[in-house]
Amino acid sequence: MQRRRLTPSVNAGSMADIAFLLLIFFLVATQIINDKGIPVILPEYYEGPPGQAADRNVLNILINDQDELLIEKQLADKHEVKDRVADFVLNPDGIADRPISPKKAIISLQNGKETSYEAYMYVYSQVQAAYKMMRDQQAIKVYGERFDDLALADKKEVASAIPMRISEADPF
Amino acid sequence: MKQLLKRKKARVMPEVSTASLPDIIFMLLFFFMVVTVMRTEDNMLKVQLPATVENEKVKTTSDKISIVVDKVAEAVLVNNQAVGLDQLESYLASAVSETHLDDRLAVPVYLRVDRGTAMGKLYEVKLALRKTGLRKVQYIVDTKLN
Repeated sequence: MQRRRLTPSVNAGSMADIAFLLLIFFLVATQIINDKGIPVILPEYYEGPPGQAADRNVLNILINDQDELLIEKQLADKHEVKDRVADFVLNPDGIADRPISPKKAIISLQNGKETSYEAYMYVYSQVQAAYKMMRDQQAIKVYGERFDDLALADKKEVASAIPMRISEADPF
Repeated sequence: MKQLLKRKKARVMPEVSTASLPDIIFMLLFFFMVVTVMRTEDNMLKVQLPATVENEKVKTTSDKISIVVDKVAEAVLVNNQAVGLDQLESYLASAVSETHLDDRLAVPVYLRVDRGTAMGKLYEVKLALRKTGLRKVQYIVDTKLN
């Protein structure tokens, strides 16, 4: 008798409701992580006196404790950093006080102990933006493509033509 | 023409089959389950990230070291663990051995620093990173420029 009884079928009608419930939970809980960052390779640690570079090759950028910006010891606006850096590195007019070739250029960043991170980061990103712009121009000139679209070998070629050398001094 | 119109009106609307609805929902469900990353870290200190003109997308990876620095606390958070600035160097050395990467230069360090932080404090963090050879750093920034 018992063996002949049919197994009752499971009602699958509410399956959709359960799935909906779970779906809504995950929809709400999901956080698509979308972080933006500035990539930096920190300089190697060594003790001893810092290296010296010829004065004409170095662009001094200094941010003091009050977040004021000085480029080559002259007060400057923080928005003009990008253009000043590009102008310095490329040296289109061949000014004697600036590097002969972009390969020689060094950007020296200095800041005080009380300088705010925000001011520092803003200037740092401007310097990076300047280099990105210069590399894009170089890439378009040589390969007819933007720097990001180049093949790896070509990228290296452009990057070595315009190397980004940022020197960060210890805070004063 | 008239006949045609009449015929159309008379036609009964066919019912849409909802039998495959659960399948579609399940598919969406699985998608969100896979995509979801429960974010447990970085929540202990509230930091206001700085805004910049230039930024890049950051790859999400589990093999990383995340450091949170805020402007008032004496300590920093390393992988969600409060560490004093003087112990940072030794703690970093042990944290790096927990990642699956052999080359220290390949370990990404994500720095979340409050915009009001004094650079003197950040300098000590950077110094500890340099001494441990963790030189690949990403400064996480705000996406909006204000």
